[in-house]
Amino acid sequence: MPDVLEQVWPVFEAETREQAQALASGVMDLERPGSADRTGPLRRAAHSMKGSAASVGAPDIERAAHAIEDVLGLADGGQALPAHAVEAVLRAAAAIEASLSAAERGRIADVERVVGDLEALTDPSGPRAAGPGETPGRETGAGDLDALFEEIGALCTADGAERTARASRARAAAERLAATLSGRAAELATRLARSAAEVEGGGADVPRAIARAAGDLVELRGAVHPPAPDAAAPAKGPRDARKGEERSIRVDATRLDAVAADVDQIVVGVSRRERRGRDLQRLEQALREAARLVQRGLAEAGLREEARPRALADGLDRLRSIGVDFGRHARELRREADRERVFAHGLRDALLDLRMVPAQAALDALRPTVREVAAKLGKHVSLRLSGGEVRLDRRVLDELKAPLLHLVRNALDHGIEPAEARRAAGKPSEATLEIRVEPRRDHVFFTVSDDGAGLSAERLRAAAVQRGVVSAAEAARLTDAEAAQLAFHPGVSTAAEVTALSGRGVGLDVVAEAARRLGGSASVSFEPGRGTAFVLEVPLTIAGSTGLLFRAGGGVGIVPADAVERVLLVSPGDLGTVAGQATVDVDGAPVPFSSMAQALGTTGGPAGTGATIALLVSAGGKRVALAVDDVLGEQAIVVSSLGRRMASARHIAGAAALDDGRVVAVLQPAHLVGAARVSQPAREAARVRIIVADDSLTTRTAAKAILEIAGFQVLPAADGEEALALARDPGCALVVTDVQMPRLDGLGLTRRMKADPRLSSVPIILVTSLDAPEDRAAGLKAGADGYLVKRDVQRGKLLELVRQLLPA
Amino acid sequence: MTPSGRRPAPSAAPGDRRDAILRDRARELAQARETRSVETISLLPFEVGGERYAVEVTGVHQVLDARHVDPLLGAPRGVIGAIMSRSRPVPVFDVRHLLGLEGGGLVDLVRVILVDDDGDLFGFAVESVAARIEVPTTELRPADAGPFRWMAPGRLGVLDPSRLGVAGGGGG
Repeated sequence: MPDVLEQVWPVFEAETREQAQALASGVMDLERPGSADRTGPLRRAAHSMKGSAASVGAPDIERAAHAIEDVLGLADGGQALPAHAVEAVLRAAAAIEASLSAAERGRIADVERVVGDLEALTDPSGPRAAGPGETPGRETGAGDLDALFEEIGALCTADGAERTARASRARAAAERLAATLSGRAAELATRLARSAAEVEGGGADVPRAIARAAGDLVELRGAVHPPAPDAAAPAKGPRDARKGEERSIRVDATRLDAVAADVDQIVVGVSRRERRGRDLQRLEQALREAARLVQRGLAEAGLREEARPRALADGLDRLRSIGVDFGRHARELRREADRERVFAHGLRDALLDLRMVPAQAALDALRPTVREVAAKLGKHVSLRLSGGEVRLDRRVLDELKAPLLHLVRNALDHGIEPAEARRAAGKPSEATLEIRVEPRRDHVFFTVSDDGAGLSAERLRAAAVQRGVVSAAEAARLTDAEAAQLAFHPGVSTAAEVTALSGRGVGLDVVAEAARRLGGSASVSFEPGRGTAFVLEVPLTIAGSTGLLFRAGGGVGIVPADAVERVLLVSPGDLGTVAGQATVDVDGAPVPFSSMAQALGTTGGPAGTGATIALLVSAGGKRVALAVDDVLGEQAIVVSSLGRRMASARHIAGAAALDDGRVVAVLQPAHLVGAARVSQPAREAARVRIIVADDSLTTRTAAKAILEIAGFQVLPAADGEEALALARDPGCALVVTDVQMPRLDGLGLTRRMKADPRLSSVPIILVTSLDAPEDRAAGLKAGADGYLVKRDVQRGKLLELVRQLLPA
Repeated sequence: MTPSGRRPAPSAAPGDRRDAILRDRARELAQARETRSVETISLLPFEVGGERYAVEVTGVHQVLDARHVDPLLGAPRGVIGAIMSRSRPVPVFDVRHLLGLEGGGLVDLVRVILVDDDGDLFGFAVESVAARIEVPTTELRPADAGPFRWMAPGRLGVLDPSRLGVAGGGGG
């Protein structure tokens, strides 16, 4: 393709893609009879596409568009378009779209078949393949317009004298048209003549002039052939934006993203400046304090004012005045930062608004798939789309396209039953697939629901057990609604067989992961025999946000602040266990509790003992409390992706630069919630078993919680006898026991265990409320391996001792 | 040389000889030119785990001081942390285990080489970076094992960035 086309192509590509999509989504409405004027916008789209394709020298697209235009004519006057015609148009639109990114741009792989199928519909004598040189626009009847098409089309590929000659002929034709036409058409023809003259004159601007001429030509075509009776009717065609054309521009989305990234940096810069202001203010206070100290020192030394060395007095004065200067600078800096913050946030909001696009584009893109897949499977499906007007960040929408497509294919393939099965179940043979977009506060819900057979909870349970996602016992405990969520685990599928359409290993886990990466979640609900609904909840926008900075596991991390419900101060009394999962009481409800380090799989830092700070993190309607070492504050952050290589680190959403320049990992709330809640059966089996004997329920529960959080399996016992019975079962690795207990006390238990050859090697820790030397001596004499005072239990000493005594 | 410019050669024999001489000369010149325009690639040699390796300069985005790498909480094995490169955080990997090099602490790694693998920017920490070298492509042998693209003379392994630094499983 000649160089000159390089400049025109991107505009052509974007326009043609838009038109192809509009054709694909619009043609399906023609399958049923309707109003007489409905083909207008579609024919215009095909027509414009044909014109542009001719002008950039893309004969395949030109032919296909021409053939589509003719087929659309079959639906004129409100007639229904036959189903096979709709399919042929859909195939052609898809082929045109694909050709835009083909290796040879604009080349339709199987053009003869695509065009032949379309032509067969309008030509009863059978398929006909038009020659590549066939001039479009034979229906215009205006020779000059045709000549213009030919000349300008050839301009792109011509060079030197030939180009000048063609430009000259194009100019003449345009001038003639300008003289005969009136209004907008005349104006366009005049502009075309001017552009052609520019090309004729040569020079550096030739490519741009050709591009302009091509654009004008397409418009001129539209103006000369007003789309007949429906011109005034408001319609949804892409060309209807023409009215506001002069007021809008097409911007490459990546450029917008680049600007957005810069603006985000400005926002972070402003908060950095605010911090500098605060630092300066602290310096000012420190200086004042220093001056006061010197003053006090002088007074205490008994030095009268006049007796003080002059240099000292001067120095003191200078200190004070520097302090005042600092204070002034600090105030100015903060005032400036305040002002800048207003502007920067305004800028960010405005930019965000620019990136907000209606969801309709994503929904429309699903229509052809539904149509095509349903046809392939021989299923009758009525597609209902709603909420297309909801606006959300283009980047969010882009990320959702593939997951939505997957859900739609999944519903058609596995969700919706074949017609016979539906009839047998007393359902209408035409199934309903509904895709709904609903905004709720700062989130958007995409729901893909079908009225098919619903999921099989039993099959999901079985598949999950088989894949080792849950143990059989755990699977049995799950409610059907909970079991349904297993579908999002890698490798878990209810599809009995893998089909060409879905179930090919790329499963719903990818859908869930995409939602998670966006900071959202995926869930599924179903009614047996009535249908399934998948819901993707995603934020309206991926933007700079606020993060909560914390220290845990020997490092610093960030959780997006909107995922942190609040910061809890957890005392051991708040802890408990439910079904082996450590929990903390939050407003009377047990919430899974874990240490952040554990949820991240890192080491370092003790698991929560004593009063602990925990973040109450929520995602996808689930909550978890994660113990951290310290909360360091909130900060404006911009989350940047760390690239493909970090994609396997699912708990890291990206990284952000703090205002002091440090780079910190931004964690994925949904993953944290999942990691802290999952109780893995395999791990449980391998867990070390510890017996905790105490007659006080409180102490027993507290010690149990501490040990369980650290990953141990704990068997509680109310006295020594009970503990001894438990210890005789195999697998006991250590015993923690109170000294004073009914029936058999701690010392007695120790003596009996040490006397039993099978139990003598099990380490025993005695815990007592008093640190009396004689008790300690008695304990050690009985054979105890460790001795602890109760108040030390909660200070982390118990864990320390347990870890020391257990064999590695 | 005979004054051939003014008149044709008196006989066929001297003419043939002249043609032969000219042909030889042309061949020599052509060979000389060929040697001069020999194709080379620029390599950036570096040292890690006490061994010497290299990367192609065209794939190198930046070389930074490893002191600016910040550890990432919960990062998987093999990820040292992240570093800011032109206001963008970039993950930094420890390639030693990938190269089968044992031992050595993080303090030994003083430089970070940032490479661009088809739009995916990442860094790997090394002990030192040497001055770039030009190696004739004829002296490169395709590597048949490991994360290498070529083997350069002196058994210098030229790394293939596309085979480097995938985070080793989730740390969580």
